[in-house]
Amino acid sequence: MPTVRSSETSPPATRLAPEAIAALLAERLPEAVTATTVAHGQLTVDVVPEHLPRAAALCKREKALAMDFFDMMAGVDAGEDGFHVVTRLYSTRHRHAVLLRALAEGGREAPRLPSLTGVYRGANWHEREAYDMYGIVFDGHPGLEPRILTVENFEGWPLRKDFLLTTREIKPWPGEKVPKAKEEPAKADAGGEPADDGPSEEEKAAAKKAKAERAKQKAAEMRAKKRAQREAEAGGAQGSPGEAAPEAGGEGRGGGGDEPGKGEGA
Amino acid sequence: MSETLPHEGGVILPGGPGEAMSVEIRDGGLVTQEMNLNIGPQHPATHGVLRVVIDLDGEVIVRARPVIGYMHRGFEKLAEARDYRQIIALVNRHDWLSAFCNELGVALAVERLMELEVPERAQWIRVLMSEWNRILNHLMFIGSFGLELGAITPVFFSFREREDIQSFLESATGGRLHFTYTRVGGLKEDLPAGFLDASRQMAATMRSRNDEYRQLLLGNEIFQARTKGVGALAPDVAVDYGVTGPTLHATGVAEDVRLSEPYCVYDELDVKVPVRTNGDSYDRFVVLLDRIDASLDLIEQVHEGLPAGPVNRKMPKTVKAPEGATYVRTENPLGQGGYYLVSDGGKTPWRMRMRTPSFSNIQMVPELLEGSLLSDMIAILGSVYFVVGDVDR
Amino acid sequence: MATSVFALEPLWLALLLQALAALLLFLIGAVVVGYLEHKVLAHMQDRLGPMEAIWHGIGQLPADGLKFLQKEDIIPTAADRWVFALAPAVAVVPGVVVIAVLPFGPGLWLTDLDAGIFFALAASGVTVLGTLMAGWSSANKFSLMGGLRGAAQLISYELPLVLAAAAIVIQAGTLSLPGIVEAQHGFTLFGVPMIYGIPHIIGLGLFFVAALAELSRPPFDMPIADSELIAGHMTEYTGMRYAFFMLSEYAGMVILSALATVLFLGGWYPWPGVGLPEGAAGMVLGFVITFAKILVLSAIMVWLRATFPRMREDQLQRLSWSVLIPLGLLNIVLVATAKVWF
Repeated sequence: MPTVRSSETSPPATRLAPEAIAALLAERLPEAVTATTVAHGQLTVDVVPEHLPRAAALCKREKALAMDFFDMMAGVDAGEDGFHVVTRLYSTRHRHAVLLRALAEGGREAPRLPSLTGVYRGANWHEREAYDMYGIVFDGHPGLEPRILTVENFEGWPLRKDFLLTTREIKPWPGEKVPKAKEEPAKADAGGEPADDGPSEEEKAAAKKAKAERAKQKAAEMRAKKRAQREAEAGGAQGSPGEAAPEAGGEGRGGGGDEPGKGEGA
Repeated sequence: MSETLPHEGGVILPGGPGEAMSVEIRDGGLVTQEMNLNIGPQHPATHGVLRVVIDLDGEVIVRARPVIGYMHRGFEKLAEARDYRQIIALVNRHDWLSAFCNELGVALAVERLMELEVPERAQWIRVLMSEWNRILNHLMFIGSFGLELGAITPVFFSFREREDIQSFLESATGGRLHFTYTRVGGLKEDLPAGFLDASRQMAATMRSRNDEYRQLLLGNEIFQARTKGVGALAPDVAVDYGVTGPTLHATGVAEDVRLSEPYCVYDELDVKVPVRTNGDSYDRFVVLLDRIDASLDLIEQVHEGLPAGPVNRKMPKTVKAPEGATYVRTENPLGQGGYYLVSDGGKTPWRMRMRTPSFSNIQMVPELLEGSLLSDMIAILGSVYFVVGDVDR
Repeated sequence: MATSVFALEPLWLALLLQALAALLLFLIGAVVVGYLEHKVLAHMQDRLGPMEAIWHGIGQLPADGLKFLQKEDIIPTAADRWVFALAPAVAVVPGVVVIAVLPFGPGLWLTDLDAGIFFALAASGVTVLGTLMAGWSSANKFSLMGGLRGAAQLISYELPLVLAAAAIVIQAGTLSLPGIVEAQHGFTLFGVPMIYGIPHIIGLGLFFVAALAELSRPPFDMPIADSELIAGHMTEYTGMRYAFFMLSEYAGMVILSALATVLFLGGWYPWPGVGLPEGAAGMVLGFVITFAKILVLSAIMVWLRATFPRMREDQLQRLSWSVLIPLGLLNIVLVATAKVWF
């Protein structure tokens, strides 16, 4: 029975250092590569979105790179700029990898990227997932709909930072709070947090009420939005994915993903 | 049948109750109609709630389309609202059969961003736990694969061993399925007294029991007829889809994170990766059995080499990963698990992408299904090892 | 040869007793074999099986029966109601009918037909009609496929079954089941009294394999295939109707084991040449011996279930048409030649 042992397989001599891969990509595709970073031994290459398939194809077909293995694709919320899509490619022969990062065109309103399905078959579901989670449309993809993970009539793009977890709106997650100082009074770093009994009962109740109020308001907003969309659809206008624009982020919550600083000092 | 009959989703069959039957001859043959069949989301062969929509011509599958998402719980979103120690408990749950390997991946990612050195002993114990977890996982699939082919006995044998392993893992971790034993910077606590003896004993038992499983199934003519040459996967297709784990190793590609990018102390151990070349259901199953032996080898090496020392390092009360991004791969029982962690310096990750082996494996499945028989579908789905929670997250 | 104990006057009493006896034998046989399956399977799989109902779970099957009685009888909206409701009965009736010709001891048979063996084989084949009806009327695609698989299986496996039995008929020179037992009692091989099963080992193997397939027992349980077709034709059935299918399966095991006992294992005699005492004692002893043989064969069927995975539909057909049927024909030729020779 054939067995591959680690004692017999040292890293292949053809394995390229991250810097070498970066140099090679920059040399072969100067118009596509905008920046390269090496952090924690991993290479991230920023790619011009329209050239993403070309860059991926180069990584796959160039003999010295031979990145045949489609590892994963991750959308990342990049705040004001829109959304990053990070694709990791890996070579089973040379055992080196690259993370290709592209900023989707169209900002937060209508993010678009060319599809990688023509290069890697494995990109299909990963792109569907990025569409499902962020609303990034991949041009040339055989079919982003129906939504892959969420239900078909789901509204909004759940992994965008402006999409809030509704349950967390009503009831703050207790683990979000910094541990109370009195639990570990001897610790030196407890000094950083003033002896904090948290908000008083009334304050808590008031905050809870306000939160419930806000959630209710939000639910009403969502209902209204749903109705509007249904009407729009009935009118024959299929809302493009980008139209489901962020709106839930208001109310002085800064749009960021950080939960409001509940419990971090009264 | 000239008119179109209700085809999708309905229960009315052509020529079924309440319908007139008509026969049409065209091109010198009987015109047949394909039957649309939903396997799942509630079906015993799909280990949960995977749904595969297939079009059948007789018993031959013409088209297959997996539909996933029935168990989507939004783990990636949840992770953004939790701090790192909570995430460790969270990721135990997407692939419930590889709980320890999952939590290890998160801890490694955070440790890498924080540039933490984990105590030597903790790293060895992490390997030990990973390998026991791997065996637990494989035992499950050895049992269920037999069950799906109609052999009802192996599952009882493999679950007997699972119980034994779970009980002594419980003594260390407090959990039987969701261990939550890893912490950023080490482990929850050291191994309890007597754990290593139990582990040694179980390793010896497992070796003989593994031969028992081999005898129970591999030599059986019907088993061979059902699995050999069924669902043969080509290595280049597998790699293109990002298929990993036993499914990939059965095609002859020895891509294993423990070899190519060793984490913890795998680089100090002699890791064996069993590989076979046909890529069919039979090979996938044999690889599974061989992997148990390989894991036992590693466990024995850990028994010998386990150093003394602390298993934890002093950590600040709130773990904050510095700003940056990293991708950590671990060899999970079902294949390569990956966590792409983007941190903005806060207590919670800015983004945590979970790359799960089952997701990629299931994506590839239509390649194997189309053109095979309905009965073979069971042999294929049972041997492309996946956990639905791991697909849907 | 002994005459049936049921040859009584007046006729209505005889008929009543026969009907009762057939029903009782049917139920007892099914329940005993069902319990055997529970326990043998459990012990082979390193577990205990039913333990709670009375002693070692012997009350489990009656308890299950009660449970089934209480369950709601669901008929799917899209189902063909009449056919759907009738199918379980169609599956059960042949079992009861076949019991009528099976000899369970000297004089312990309900009726002795001249063509008993062919009546038994023909009637037991009707069971599949129930499968087909159930599969078709359920308006469920899984059921439909199960029903079709069942029908295809019957067509291919009725033939080897009949061929194997035909060889014994040639050997014994009679179609009557008690007649075959008596003929076997006097059978000698090179002067040694011998059951037919030893020289007819090919026939015995054929009969047993074909019987398994006919019963849809593992490894030939594709019509049921719980991991693919989710119990096939039984998917939509609940309560008593479902229990009827289970009954017919267990009764089928009894019937085909009993047929194999008569044809190959010497029937109620412990061994050819070894007689039984006259009268009631002989009857009881004969019944016990017959039933013991039936249970051994049934236990082997259970053993196979614990051992083998399921075959595939096309593999099953290939096995029948390219191996079993040629073998059955060859067997007949051999037996006929040997019969003429000696």
